[in-house]
Formats: sequence, C-alpha cells, structure tokens
Amino acid sequence: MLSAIINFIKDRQSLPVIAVFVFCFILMLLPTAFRLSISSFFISVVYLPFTMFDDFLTDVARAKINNIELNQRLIQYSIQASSYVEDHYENNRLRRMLDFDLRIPYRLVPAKVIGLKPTPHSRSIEINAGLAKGINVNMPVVTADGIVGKTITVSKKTSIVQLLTDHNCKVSVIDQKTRAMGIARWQGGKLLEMGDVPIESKVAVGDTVISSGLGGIFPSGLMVGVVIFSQNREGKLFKDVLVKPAVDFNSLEEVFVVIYGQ
Amino acid sequence: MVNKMTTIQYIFGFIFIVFFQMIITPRICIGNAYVDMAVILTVWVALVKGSHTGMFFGLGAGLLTGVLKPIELGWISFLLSATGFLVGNIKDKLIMEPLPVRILTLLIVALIYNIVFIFFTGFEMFFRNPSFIFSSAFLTAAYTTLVGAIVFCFLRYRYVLRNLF
Repeated sequence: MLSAIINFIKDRQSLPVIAVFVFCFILMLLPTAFRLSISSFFISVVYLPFTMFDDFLTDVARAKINNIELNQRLIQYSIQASSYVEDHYENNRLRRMLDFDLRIPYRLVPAKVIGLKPTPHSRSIEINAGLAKGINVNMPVVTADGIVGKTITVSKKTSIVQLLTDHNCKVSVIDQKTRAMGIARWQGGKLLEMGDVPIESKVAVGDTVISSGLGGIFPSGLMVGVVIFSQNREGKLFKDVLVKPAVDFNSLEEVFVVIYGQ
Repeated sequence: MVNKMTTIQYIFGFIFIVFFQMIITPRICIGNAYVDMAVILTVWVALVKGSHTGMFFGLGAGLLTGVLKPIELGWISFLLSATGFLVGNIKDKLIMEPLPVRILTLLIVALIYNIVFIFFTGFEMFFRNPSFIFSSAFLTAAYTTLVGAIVFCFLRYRYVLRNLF
C-alpha cells in the first residue's frame, strides 16, 4: 500500500493530481473572511449577469403572485363598490321618502313591491302590506315622486295596487299653475290623458299636474306629472292635454300607502 | 466524434453549470432533493475524456460553484476534482460506453458524493440524524441522476439532434 503511494508520487503523471489536491487543501485552510471576500467578489462582479437574471426571475415570480393577490382584492373591492353604490341609491331614495313623509300630513305605511302583474287590460303591483298594517281597499299608494295608484284588493299581509297606468284608474287632477281641473287616465303608452279640461283654460306644456282631492280617494296636492302636450281642437269642448307621469312605473321598489281620515 | 471537446465547449460547460446552479437549481428543488449539475457534467467529462481532464474539469466546476457557498469552497473543489479523477480512472479500467452504465455510474457517484460531502461539511448533523442525511442524500442523488440521464442522452445524441433540426 505504502509502496503504491510512493510509486504514485514518483510517477510524473501524478504531479498534476497532487497539485490539484494540495491546492484544494490550501483552499480549505484559507481564512473564512478571505473566502467570503472571494465569494462576494464573484457574486457581485463575475456572476453579475446571473445575479441580475436571478433577481429578474424572482421579481417576475413575485409580481405574478402579487398580481393574483391584487386581482383577488380588485374583485373583492369591485363587489364592495357595487354594493356601496346600491346602498347609496337606496339611501338617497329613503332620504327623499323621509323628507316626503315629513311634508305631508298623512300617515304613511311603507311597503315593498313584491310582485308585478302587468297584463294588457290591467296593470298592478303586489305589495307586502295588508290588513294587518291597517291597509284597506281604495287607499292611495305613492312614492316620493308622486302617485303610484290605489289599493284594489287587500289580504292580511299583502295588497294589490292598481297603477295609474291602468285603464280603470282615474284621478281627479288640477293644473297647479292655471288651476284648471280635469281627470287623468291612462290611454296606452307611457302618458296619461288629462281629460275634461275646458277649452278656454290656459294649460301649457311644462305645467305641473297634481291631485285635486275631489275624487275621494287621493288627497289633494299629490304630484301626478307634467304637461307635455296641450292643444285646442276645433269643434271640441275640451282641450287635448297629455301628462307625463312623475313616477317611473318600471322601477318601483318601495312605496307608501297613504292612510288619511282616520 | 464524442471525444472532440474543445476549450469553448468546456467554457460553455462551466457557464452552464453556474447558470444552472444559480438560476435553475433553487427553483426545481423538491423538498431537500436538488440537482447538482456540477456532478453531472464532471462525471460526463471524466467518462469521455479520462481522469486528468475530469479532475481539472471537476476542479473548475468546484471553484465556480464553491464561491456560491464560500464556507465549503475547498471541500466542493476537492470532492469534485476527486470525483473526476476517480471516475476517469474507472473509465480507463472498465467499459463505460453504454449509456445505461454511465447513468448507473452517475447514480452511485452522486450518492457517494452527497454522503461524503455531508460527512465532511456537517459532521455533527451526520451523526445526530443519519437516517435523514442518507434519505436526503439518496433523494438528491436520484434527482440528479434523473436530470443527468436527460443531459447524458442529449450529449450522446447531440449530433443526431443537430442533423435532425
């Protein structure tokens, strides 16, 4: 064994091998601080392209993770934002209703629209207030914008409201400016016809039409709509007046049933 | 044909080792198992060119990868140059031409290399938790051999691939 080692050392071809291993042992014996300085030199100078590429890949991976997180947050925030917008609209609507509540001298019973029943012959909605809340037949139903209709069928917890845009619903109205009186009724489409307006009256486009209180159902002063067409026709006793309803019947969510005279 | 390795190829091999160890290895670790490209290429060079070239290639690879772990710089250089030298010697005595034999050699060398490396660099841990050391050394060796097999196949058939594409 010893002779084999001696022969190996004596062999000229073994010289590089011995040199390499001696060099490695010298490396092992070098002070740690020196080795660290060599390492930091290599990493910061010689391996700089690799280090930069490694940093780049790390940044890309981190950006990808951040992107996923941020997308999740964005979705959460957009859902929250849409709910805030909804709350904002509801808040505005309820504020307007509250103001309205304070303005009129009647008791208002709030109700939510729980069903729509539009048919060619009748247009009505179902609300979640009935006898239990003091609702009876032929009570006016309003929103902050104006008259919605009247109750026609009442059960214990729900009621059917005949809308203003129903053939059978008629409201005694008055032009707020000229005090000309008439009967508002639906004639199809989106407009109301204000009938029985004397030809000599000065009802004009833009006039506000409100309930007169003469019909016995709707109290006076409730908003009905705005005149958008007014014309005299030859040989007729009454004016042709068309009124655009103040209430948007396609977006009813909350209404009030007006209880008065009790 | 296979033995024609120029200086440029060696330099490219060193650059590839550094690139792989710095960029790829940390990203493809599976638990404690990692791929040691320095061992793979040192074994290949030793199997192709013999003991002296393998030893010098191992020394170069050890120095270049050792600076990434300065505490173990000397040990990595020593073990890799010794690996190159010993594998080259085995190649001179045995028929190592078939690819499966080379891959098996890589597995054995990688396993011994890892165990010896941990023995010298983490002496206390080696005796405190030997089962953990052996299992992680085996997993690293297996993982290195798996990637090494792909590298060996590529190096063996690179001329065929070049003609194909």
